[in-house]
Amino acid sequence: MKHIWLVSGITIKEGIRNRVLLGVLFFALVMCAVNVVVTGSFTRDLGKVAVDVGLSTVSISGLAIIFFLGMPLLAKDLDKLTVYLVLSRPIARRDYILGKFIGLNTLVFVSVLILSVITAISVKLIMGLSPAYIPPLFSWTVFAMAVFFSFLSLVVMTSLSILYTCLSSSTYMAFIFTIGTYLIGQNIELVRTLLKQANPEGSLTLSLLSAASWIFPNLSAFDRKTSAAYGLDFHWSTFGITTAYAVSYTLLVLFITVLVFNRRELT
Amino acid sequence: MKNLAVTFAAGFLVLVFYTFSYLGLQGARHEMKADIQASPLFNLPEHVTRVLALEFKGLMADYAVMEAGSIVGKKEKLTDAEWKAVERVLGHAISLDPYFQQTYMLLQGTVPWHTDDHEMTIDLLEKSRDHRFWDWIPGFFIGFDYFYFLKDNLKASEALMAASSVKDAPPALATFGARLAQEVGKNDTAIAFLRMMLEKEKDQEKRDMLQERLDAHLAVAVLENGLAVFHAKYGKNPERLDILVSSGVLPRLPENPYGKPFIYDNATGVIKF
Repeated sequence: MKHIWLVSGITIKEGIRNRVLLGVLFFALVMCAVNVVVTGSFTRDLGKVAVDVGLSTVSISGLAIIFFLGMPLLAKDLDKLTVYLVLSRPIARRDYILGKFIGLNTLVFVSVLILSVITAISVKLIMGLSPAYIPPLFSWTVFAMAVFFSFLSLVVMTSLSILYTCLSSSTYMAFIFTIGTYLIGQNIELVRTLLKQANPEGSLTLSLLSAASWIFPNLSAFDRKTSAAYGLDFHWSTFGITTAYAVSYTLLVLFITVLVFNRRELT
Repeated sequence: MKNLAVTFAAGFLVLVFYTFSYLGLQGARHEMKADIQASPLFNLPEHVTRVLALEFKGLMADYAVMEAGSIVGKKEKLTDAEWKAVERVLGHAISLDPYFQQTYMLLQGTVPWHTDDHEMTIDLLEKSRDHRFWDWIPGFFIGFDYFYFLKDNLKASEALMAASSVKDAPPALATFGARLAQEVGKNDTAIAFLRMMLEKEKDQEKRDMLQERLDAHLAVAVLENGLAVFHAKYGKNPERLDILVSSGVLPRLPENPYGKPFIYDNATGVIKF
């Protein structure tokens, strides 16, 4: 366990040194200002627009950290063989992967936390300026839950990005696989629903999609921006089962990643 | 010196070429924009837009509403094709985020007044109504469109009565819905509905308003029964309502709680209050 914390600590330090994190924070501040301007273009449900812009910023920034900070950090270790500096010490490959995972997710968590606080401030500001045009059911609890789910989605994506980086020989391919998985994960449920409506008796495509839904993550389950925007009902059972799904999927991906990394020839 | 002059001339020519091509491109883009009327994204089927929007459906809906608003505000008089584009973009906005109030407000405030496709507007409003369970306004707009544009009082009354059941809806929706129902021969429905509303309502002022309207509908029910008996006996409608009393069908005429005489059309047998 000590080794995992050591690797994660190094990853966090590397991440903080990297300018991408600063760029993300700058982007967040810009989006906060943009939020006030964009919201001013509307006359109804202003709180909803503010939440849309704010939580979308959280998601985009989290993804930017995974794609432009996390994946290059890991790929650099593998390509330039700096991973030997770590693995030549008594640190197991498993500990290296888990350390990287925890380190990257700590960076994502800090970023999500900062962005969420900034978003909450801008939403509060907009609500204060136009209290009459706020969705009547809006709730900060639902908002917090949506942020948590956004983080869970990013955790799942982090685990997959590490898997793809370990699986493929080039960063470019790993990048393409991760983007592809993100696009599929966001839409697989919607496309399945649409196909079911079109062919209630089933089809080969639908069967293939059903099979694929066991492999690709259902990322749309973590998208609760609409619930946060209007304060729509958020059952604790849904909260529990979605969290369990994210944890189990991430554990499975990490397990496969460790297996792949243990067999990978680092030459 | 000669080389410098050639360089300057070549630079000048390239600059002129660039200026013309830039202005040409601007013109072409402007024509294309006027021709398309909306982003190509909103020319796609709604399902495709939902897929492309990924986890940013709310944000995309905001953009669609802004785009529809910009088309409406572009010039004083829009063409039919432009109104169709507004309707299509707002349809996408509702498909992406059916909860957004700005979408149905913009839709109702513009499209039905400039197009004849009222069923489409009502379809979109119904999506908003079905999602915004706390909001009586989409249901009211549906009732209004049926009443004002489509002259379908039965559907208008159904929509208004449904909208009046939403929390904080003004009681006038219930009374107006009931009146329309009565006018299309559904007085029993109006009475049952008003009784249900009366049971639920706690506010005394609103209760009084509903009770007054219920009394009017009950009075009409008595008169309608009298007319049915008279018609069965004499094979025609009486010329005036007081004939129901003089002919012995009714012991006396019920009072209109609004203090005016009932309006009666003996050709159709319709009674209004």
